[in-house]
Parts: sequence; structure tokens; C-alpha cells
Amino acid sequence: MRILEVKNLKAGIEGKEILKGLHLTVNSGEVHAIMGPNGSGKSTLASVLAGKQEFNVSGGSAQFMSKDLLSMEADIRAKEGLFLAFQYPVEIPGVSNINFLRTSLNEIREYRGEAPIEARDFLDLVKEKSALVELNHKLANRAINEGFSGGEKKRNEIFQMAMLNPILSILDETDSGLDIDALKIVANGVNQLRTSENAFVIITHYQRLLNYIEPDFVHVLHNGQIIKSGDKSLALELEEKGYDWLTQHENIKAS
Amino acid sequence: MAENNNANVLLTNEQEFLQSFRNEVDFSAIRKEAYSLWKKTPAPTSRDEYWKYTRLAPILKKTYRTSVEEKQIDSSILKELNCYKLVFVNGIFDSSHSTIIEGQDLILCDILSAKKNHKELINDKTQALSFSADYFSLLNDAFHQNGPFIWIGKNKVTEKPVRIINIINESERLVNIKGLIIAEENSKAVILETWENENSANNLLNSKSDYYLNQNSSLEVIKLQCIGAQNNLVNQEFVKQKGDSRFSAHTYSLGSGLIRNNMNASLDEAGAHSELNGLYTLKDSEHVDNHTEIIHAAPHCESHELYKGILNDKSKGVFNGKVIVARDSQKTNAFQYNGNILLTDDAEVYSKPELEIYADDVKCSHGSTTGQLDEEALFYLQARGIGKARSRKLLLRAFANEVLEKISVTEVKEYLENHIEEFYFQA
Repeated sequence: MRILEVKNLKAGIEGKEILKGLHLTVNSGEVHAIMGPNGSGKSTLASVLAGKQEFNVSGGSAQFMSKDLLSMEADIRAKEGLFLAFQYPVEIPGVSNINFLRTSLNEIREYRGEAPIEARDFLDLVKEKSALVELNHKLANRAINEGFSGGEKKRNEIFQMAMLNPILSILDETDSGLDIDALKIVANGVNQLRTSENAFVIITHYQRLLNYIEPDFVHVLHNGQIIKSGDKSLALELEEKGYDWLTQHENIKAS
Repeated sequence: MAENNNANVLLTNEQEFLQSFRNEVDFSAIRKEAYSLWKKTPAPTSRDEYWKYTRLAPILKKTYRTSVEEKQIDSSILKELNCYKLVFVNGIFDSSHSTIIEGQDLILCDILSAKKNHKELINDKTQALSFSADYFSLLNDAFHQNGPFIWIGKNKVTEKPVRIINIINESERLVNIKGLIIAEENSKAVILETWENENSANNLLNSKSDYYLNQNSSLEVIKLQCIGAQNNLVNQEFVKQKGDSRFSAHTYSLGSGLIRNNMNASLDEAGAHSELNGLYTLKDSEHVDNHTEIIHAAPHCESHELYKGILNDKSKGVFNGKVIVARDSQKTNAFQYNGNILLTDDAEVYSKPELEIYADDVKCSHGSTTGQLDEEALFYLQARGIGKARSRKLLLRAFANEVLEKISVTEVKEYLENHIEEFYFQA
């Protein structure tokens, strides 16, 4: 089943075009890795798909579950089943993680015409899903990300993902700043959430994460476009040769 | 001449005032002195640094009368709260709805009665402590109609809060309310002061409260200032703290024409602890001005100030926090923070800390932030499926909660939370 179809997407910020005609198709059951050097547009892609307002879309289209994604407000995108794991999760003092998650879950359920979750079921779910990423469930009572370590913040993102059970998860450099143990925990969490019904787009700078989450496709993003796609072996090739062999080739082609 | 300047406030009823106080046993030296000083004191203007951002001229130009009719009206908010009550309607004591207590360890009554019956407690000394040259303070000292008197005896811990209820249901009145609260050694009490408006307008409410905390006593004072958009309030509080006493005040300004709070605390002996919290949620052209002054007159005292504001429409907020640490007040801890969220481009905040530190071994800090709602946080919540309006509300509530959570009375906390919720349904 087709989950996401991005065609010729052009987007930018403050008048500067960053995505310059990007194509990407994601089907259910697939894991896509998007790699690329700094400044290639990886995080912009994540932000545009999740609906961050500062970014302007100047061309192209994105269909999510056959609906026009780009015309939806950010919260509607989430309610439709899209999830963004933030590169830099925001600290929100005064809002407890648990209240936030309950509100989030119930808004999504309401959107789908479901009744609010029972308090008991909710707590069971919190326990189960926080164990998945080895996140101390006591953190759930703290304010959102406040005083969390870098690793705890990233695990909290995956915990939220597990709670909301999205159709498409976009992980924006979830691996950056993680030590190897935390990385394994995050990868293990993602692997357990993989089903034939959902899909993942994993944005990363390093090949390292892909040792633990095996992608079906690897794409190289450069200068706002996907310049090469392949299977997981492409990631290994990038690791070995760096991005230069591709980007130089691309630059020559461009000139 | 200064007298002309002041006459505008009371021009129509100055004689009436004097008449009504003639029979009172204590139209005493202190009232007379205050009156004669007040006559010589020019009304403050925005040229005075102390009143720079709060214009009084439109308020002082109006003419006011004094209420004379005794009315019996009960509070319409927090009815379920189990508490003692002292009710004042347009400044006049409503004994029918009040809990008058003349006990060995607790006295609750109106201040006019206390002046007759409790001369040992309310005398020149206790009245003179807050006697200042301030225009509104003098006005109040001279012309207070009545006000609450609360005495908590030695070792007494009151089992329920004492409510001071001020109801205003007439218009174009000058209401002068004066309260005196004395906490004896080791005593403890919670006081809840509410202002309620019932279809009144164009009133000038001038309130003054003196708090005396003796050794190791504890007072928590919660104030809900719902005076209505057409009324104005000048509220002055003077706190005197003896050793190891603990004072906390929570000032919630929830809808007003103009509110000016002058909160003055003096930590006179070692170990005194003072906490001043405030929250103002403003809309339309509401105006709230909080001036605090904390004097650390003794070593080993601690003060905490947390004032927060959420300002919508064209509303205006002022915060001025002065902390004075005297030369010998070593080991002072004094912290102050004022935070504001502006919801529109037209809302304004003037925030100013003033620290005067004459001791050298102290910890003092202050901070002030004013800004819009955090867009990053807003996007984070939306990205988790929470609608924009709801996300805004969550963030505003979180911002206010830091202040609200300091209240010990759950019912009051919930009342305020709901109020803020409603406020943001409109926002």
C-alpha cells in the first residue's frame, strides 16, 4: 500500500529554496534511509512533511495515504498517522509528559471517532511502551523533556512514537548525539514497532544506525534533491567512500 | 496649592466623610493627622518615578461618594469552601454573613469594633507602623470605612482559612478598606481575600492591609482581585516580620480597570522568610501594576518573588520589584523573577528590578523575560496531534501553573485554573 508519495517537492525558508524538486515514494512495510551531508536539506524535508509553518512550499506535491498532506495543519497530519521524531526535542516546563501524551492520544482517538482511553489502559500502555525504550516510567511524570539527558530525550521521542502508533514515522537524526548503548536501545525500539502496515523514514548523517535498523532503501540527498537511491549496500559504500564521490560527480553533471 | 489638587477626589463628599466619622470613638489623632497630611500631599502623577507607567489622572478626576447603606450580600464565588468569613459590602461591614469570633486564641471581627474592644491589640503602635507619607495610604488612614481585624493567638493554628470578602455593587464610590492582621508567636493561618464586582462601575477602591508576624508565625495570604473592568483598585500591603516567621502572598489580578498593588515587606529579624507570588491575566485595556519592596533588615532572611503575566489585546502590565539589603544583613537570600507572555502586538509590559545591596555576603538574583508564546513548543505539541488552540492553552496554563501550584488551598487553586482555562477560551 502506498503511504507517502512526494513529487517534485520544492520548499524553502525565508526566500531561500532548500528542497529543489524531491521525489520519494514510501510503501507500507518499508524502511527508507535518507542520508546526506550537512546542509543537503534532510531536516528541511522532515519539517516540511510534519508541517512546520516557517517553511514555504513553492512547488510539487505530497500525498499521505492518498490525501493531500501539504494542505493539512501540523496536528491533522499527526492525527492522520504521521509522526516526526525531533532532532532537537523541545523542553516544555510545566506540562507533564504524561498529561501531554494522554491529551495527544485522546485527540488522535477523537479524530478517528474513538472514545478516550481508559485511565487504567493508558497507564498500562505507558508502562509497556516505556519499557520498550528502557525509559524509566518515572520520567513520564516530569515536564516534557525538562532536565532529560540527550539520550533520554531521544528515547522519549521513540516512546511517544510507540504510544501513538503512527502509520509513517520520520526520524530526524535520532541517532546524533547518542552513545552506542542508547543507539541500540532506540534501534531496538524501532525494530519492534516495524510491521507490514507501517513505514519509517530514517534521516541520518551516519551509517552507524543502519547497522541496527536495516533499511529497504537508501537515498542520498544532496543540494535539495535525491541524487542516488539503492539498497542497504549503498549506505556501506557511503561509509567507505564518503559523500564526495557522489556529490562531486553530481556537481560535474550540474556544471 | 496642593489642597486643590486633592480636592478633586473627594470634592463632593469631603464634608460627608467628616460627618460620618465624627461619632466614631477614634476619629482620633491618627485619622486627623493622616487627613491633614493627605491634604498637603499632591496626588501622584506619571512624572513620579513610582507611578511612571500607571496614569491616575482619569481616575482622580472623577467624583466619588461614600456608601452609607448597610447591605447584606454573600460571596458568589468559592461558596463550597469551608472557611470563616468577614464580609464587607461597598466597604461597610455585613455582620449577617460574617463569622465573628471573640475567642481566647482567635479574634475575627471588623476593625471599627476592634478599635473599641481590643485597645490592647490595636493602638497607636500597631496603627502607626504602616503610617506613611503615601497619598493613598494617608487617604486610607484618614477615611477607612471599615475593614477586617484578624488576631491569631499564640500557638494557634486555624483549622480553616479566613476569608475576607469585599463585594462592590454600587457605582461611583470611593471605598476605603483597612485591614489589620496579627499573627502571634508560633501561630499559623491562611487568609483568602476576594474582591467581587456585582454590576458596579467607576469605583475607586483603596485598600490597605497591615500584617504583623511575630516569632515563628506563618501566614499565607491569597488574594483574588476580580474587581470588574470598570473599577479601579489601589491595594497597599505592609508586612512586618519577626524572627523565623514565614509569610507568603499570592496576588491574582483577574480582570480590572486598573489595579495597583504596593506590597511592602520588612524582614526585621533573623530567619524571616517571605514569598511574594503574583499572576495577572489581562485582556482588553486592563492595567495591572505590581510594585513590591522587600527590606532585608536582618541577616539570615530569605525572600522569593515570582510574578507572571499573560497579556492579551491592548492590556498593560507593570512590575517593579525593589529589594533592599541593609548593611548588616549578611547571608541574605533574595530571588526575584518576572515573566510575561504577550499574546498581541498591542499588549505592553514594563518590568524593572531594583536591587540595593549594602551587605557583602548575600545571594541575590533577579530575572525578567517578556516574549511571545514559544513557537517551537507550539509546533512540538501540534506535531503530536494536539490542535493549535489547545496547544496554546496547554502552554499558557503551564506558564501560569508555576505560580498557581504554590497555593496550598486546593479549592482556590482549582478555581483559578478554571478561570484561566475560561480566559483562554476567549483568547
